[in-house]
Amino acid sequence: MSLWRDFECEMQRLPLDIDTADRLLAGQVLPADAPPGYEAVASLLNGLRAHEEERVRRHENTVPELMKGGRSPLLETKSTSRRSTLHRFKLAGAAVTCALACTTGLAFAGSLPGAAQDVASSMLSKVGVTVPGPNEKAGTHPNVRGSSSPDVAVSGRAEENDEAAAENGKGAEISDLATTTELTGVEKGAAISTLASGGKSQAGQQGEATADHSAATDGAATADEASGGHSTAGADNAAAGQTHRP
Amino acid sequence: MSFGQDFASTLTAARRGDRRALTDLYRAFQPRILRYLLTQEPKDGEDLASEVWLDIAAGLTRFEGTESDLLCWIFTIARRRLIDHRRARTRRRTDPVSVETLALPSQEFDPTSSLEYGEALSCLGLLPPEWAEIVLLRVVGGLDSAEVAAITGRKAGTVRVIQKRALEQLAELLSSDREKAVTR
Repeated sequence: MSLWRDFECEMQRLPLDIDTADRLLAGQVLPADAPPGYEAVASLLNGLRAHEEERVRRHENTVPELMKGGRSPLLETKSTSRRSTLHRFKLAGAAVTCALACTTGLAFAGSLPGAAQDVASSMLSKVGVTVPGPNEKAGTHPNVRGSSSPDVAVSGRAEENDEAAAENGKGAEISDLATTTELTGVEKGAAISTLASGGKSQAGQQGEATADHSAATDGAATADEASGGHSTAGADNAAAGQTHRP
Repeated sequence: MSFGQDFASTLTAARRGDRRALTDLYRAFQPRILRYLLTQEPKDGEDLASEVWLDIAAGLTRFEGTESDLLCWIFTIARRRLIDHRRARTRRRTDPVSVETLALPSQEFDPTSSLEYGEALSCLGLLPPEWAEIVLLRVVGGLDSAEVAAITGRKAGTVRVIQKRALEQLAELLSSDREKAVTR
């Protein structure tokens, strides 16, 4: 216990209890009745409470009218419908933009179907944008649409056409031979076959007699060899007109 | 202003759109709402209060409860509007001022009251934001501690302790200001 501490305590405010604080905030305590050290707080709170009264009175008649107009459930419906309409417009706009971008991109790539490419080409040319037409990649052939390597395709087709033309000429030659030749039978067929196969066919050659040995002579010779020249098989029997029976 | 036993009939009439009932509700609650919003947002407080009343108008048909419940509901709307406004301002990061505002000073300008009011607000601004909000809801909104607790999502006992500490700190701030003024 010391004097200077007592002096310090005299300068301090009294502690505020919870109920008094509650009453101060509720406006139930006038500044004159406030606990020591809280007079300024009480007047400050009253000042806050009294402020803006005039501003409030000024709008007293207008806001209830507004509320009356907006009180009905139409207020909510209106705002929702406005939002949904706006949302729908946004979606539609986005879809149209996407479709335009995709179509323009395909038109630039020349990948649209013929008629669509034609329309896109003409429409975009009006706004100064050049895109390939429908037959841009067809080359000299009007029926050939674009492909990744048009030269190879065209040359391949030309070779096929040449081969086909050659085939047609050969057929005519064969036909001529068949109708004009004086050969007949196997010889005529062999000639035609040879021409058709380019000389590779051996048709008609099997028709000639190329074997010198008959079955009878073969059998007689074999029997002679086996018997050491004593056999009379074959020739004798044949001469006698007999048949051999076992 | 309290409706007492007339509250139920006033509410029913207001739901039907009766002008007198709506005016009574407005007179009863608008001063508190406006004060609360103006202390937090001096520039946009009136606009926010109008938006609060539009929300009230939209939801009044669905409201069920006592006068205290209605007060809590209204201040919950006001508080959420305030939070939304601050979030939007953070995103916008601009503070547009109209030409008309720049050309002429407001006719309502009162230096004396503004000074007192400004001093009170600056003192409240020195408190932690949660404490200042509770004091404003109590003083400006005219709510009791249970209602403030319901609006702010705290326990009533916590609110009472916070408001006591807030008043102690306010007293300390004001006395230090006075001491400074005396020593000058």
